[in-house]
Amino acid sequence: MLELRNLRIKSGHKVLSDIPTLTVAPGERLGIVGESGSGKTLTVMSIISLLPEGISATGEVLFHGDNLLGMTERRLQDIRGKRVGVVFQDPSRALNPTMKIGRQLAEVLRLHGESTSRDDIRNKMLKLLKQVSLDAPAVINSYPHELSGGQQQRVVIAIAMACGPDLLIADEPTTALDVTVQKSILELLLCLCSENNMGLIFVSHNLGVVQSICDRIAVMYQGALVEVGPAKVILGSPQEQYTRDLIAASPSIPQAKEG
Amino acid sequence: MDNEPQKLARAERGRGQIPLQVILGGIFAGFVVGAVLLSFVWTPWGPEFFDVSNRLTGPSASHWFGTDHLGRDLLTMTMLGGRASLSITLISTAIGAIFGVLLALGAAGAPPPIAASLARLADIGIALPSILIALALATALGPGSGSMIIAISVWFVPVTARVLIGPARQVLALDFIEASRSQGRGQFFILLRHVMPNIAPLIIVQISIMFGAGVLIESSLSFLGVGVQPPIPSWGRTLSEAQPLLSVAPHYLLLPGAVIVVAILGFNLLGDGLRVWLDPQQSRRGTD
Amino acid sequence: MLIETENLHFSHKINRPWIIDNVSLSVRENESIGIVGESGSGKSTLIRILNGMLPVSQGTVRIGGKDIEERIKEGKRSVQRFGQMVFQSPRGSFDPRMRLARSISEPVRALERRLPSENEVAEVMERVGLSEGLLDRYPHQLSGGQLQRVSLARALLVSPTVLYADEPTSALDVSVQAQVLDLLGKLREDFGLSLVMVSHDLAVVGQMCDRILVMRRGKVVEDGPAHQILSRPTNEYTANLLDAARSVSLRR
Repeated sequence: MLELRNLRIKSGHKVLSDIPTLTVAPGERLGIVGESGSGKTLTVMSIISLLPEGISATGEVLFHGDNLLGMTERRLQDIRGKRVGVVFQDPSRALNPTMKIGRQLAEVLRLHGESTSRDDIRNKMLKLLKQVSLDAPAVINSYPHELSGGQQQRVVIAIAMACGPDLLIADEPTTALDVTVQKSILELLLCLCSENNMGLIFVSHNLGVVQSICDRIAVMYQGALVEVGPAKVILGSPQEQYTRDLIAASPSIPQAKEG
Repeated sequence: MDNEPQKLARAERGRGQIPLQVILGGIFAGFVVGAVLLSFVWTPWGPEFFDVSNRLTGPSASHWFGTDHLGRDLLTMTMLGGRASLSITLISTAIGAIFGVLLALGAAGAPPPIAASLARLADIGIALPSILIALALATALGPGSGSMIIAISVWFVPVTARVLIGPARQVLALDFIEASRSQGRGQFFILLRHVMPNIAPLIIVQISIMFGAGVLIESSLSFLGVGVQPPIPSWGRTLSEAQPLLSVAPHYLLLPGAVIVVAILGFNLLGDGLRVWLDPQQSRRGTD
Repeated sequence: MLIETENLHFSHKINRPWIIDNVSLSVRENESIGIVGESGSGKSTLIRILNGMLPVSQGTVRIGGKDIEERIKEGKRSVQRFGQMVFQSPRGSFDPRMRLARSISEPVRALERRLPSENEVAEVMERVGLSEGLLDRYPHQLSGGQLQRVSLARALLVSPTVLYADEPTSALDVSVQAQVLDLLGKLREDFGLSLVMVSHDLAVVGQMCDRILVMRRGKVVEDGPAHQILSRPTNEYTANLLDAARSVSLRR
């Protein structure tokens, strides 16, 4: 479904990241793990061509065969939000603080949707919010700041999923949340992906989180792809030294002793 | 985290490239200030010289700016007139900066009841129209550089304070201030040794802007006649003398006027450019 | 008993809900305790009360056997010399406009009214594994991990009895985190320090601390030896927290 080929990201002459090849099959959940400076966020932002000023990407980002890099902004806008959904780390920054949730959700539906009748949109909203386990009528009439961090992130996920995308990109979506909330959001993402056969690219610095939700893991370090493979293999028998070091340094809780 | 290399690169770029405004502003302002300073050692013609038979002539080889209504060399008068404007502006800006900074630090960092009153003081101060105060003071104290300085300073202090209070409060909310407190430092030390250096770029910008404003206000007040009195030359008065003669001797108004404009423009450009140059990180968002 | 609190209550304004609600705890010499909780639990507030940075609204706090309010009356310095704090954001805890050599000497200057000697600085930098030359630089020139080490060095210069750590590794990369935690453990041993660490991360606290206090909405819901809490929590909230923590940390 998605294939990155020779994706090179540069700032002027400096190469920030270089990926020879990386794929995501339909319905597959890929985790991209790396520390700061690994280039993981840049890589993922280049998929939807949302790179900051002064940074450019060359190579191919093939989405269902079409190269997203070099597409006109018009076509990209068609794809962003509709076929590819994005969830960022800080939900309070992704939501407009001056608009009620219902309005923001409706805006996205209207922007990409085929239906324009108010009833149709309202029905879709109710369905979406239910999918993310939110109490629809209450949430629709609330402002973002009236919701908790976890609820806000669920809204962001609902917005990202509004048009039934094939792929969801999530960049550290749980990092800013409390641990118990993190768990519920991860469970939600897992559920949504399997129910809708939606692919997922989950970017994180936390191996534990990626372990809970991803089929495959790609490890990045200073702009290079260190190792890619099935989660169990990468975590169980890592080939590269960096991967081993990363695993060793990740905090873990000793298992409960029996009896 | 991930955006750190980009942020550092941007910060380095921001510092390295001097914005055009700083260069242009520096040249304009520097040119005028330089000419005025030059007047202390040399002017094209002596200040006492006048030739009534040669009044109101346009620019020529011997008189680059032409002559005024008394036959004095206009360029000389302009250079000399700048002394009053610039010195009054300099003193007012200094007072504005020093007391403005103190007022801002107090309003940001003093115990709440005091801080609130100081902030109110700054708010009220801005509302006062400087030109009217100047006129009132001139009437009460008599015209001259003294009342001008007081009038301009009275406005500069609260304006500077208002600009700096917000940033000072922001700095006070930063982690290293808390760290400093936990290490035993008192509020006084924190305000002077931690907050002030961290708002220094803004202070420099504000000084530059005050210079431009000061020249403008001083010239306006002199134009109205409440500035320095004859025989001390001043830009504003030169303009007021030149204004009725605009149709017969346009150079008399336009050339000194242009010098004032260049000076004010220069200081303002400098201020704008410095603001961009010295604080490039503030307005940027990260990649995530 | 090194630190003790009895029925501690705290709120910023009168008639507001308690941010710290009836907390009684004790820390022995050489002990390390971890205070865990989610946002709003009051853990950061608690550590700041122990450190003398926030006042006591109700109840008592005893530092080194003496009531904290009395100590403050005698001079705040005695509280600050007792315990120094390492903050969450390594970059944030340094004045960006001061060279590190100046910043590192701040606690000594403020609390002991003197400059640290060259030997003292050299020794403490060696203990944290950094070259002294780094002190000539500004904060933005060092990495997060290096800055956190300088932060530790700064705290050690006044020879505190307790080290307070407010999420000391949350802002660091995982690989650096492990190094800093190792260093923290080593320094504790070398200097016989007690550690009071606040964290949202049960895994980190489990690794570093002898005892764990679990906080929720200002109250302590569980207090016991680390290994016990991590394997057999008695409180339902703790059990949920543990379960969630397991799903976000690596399962080996």
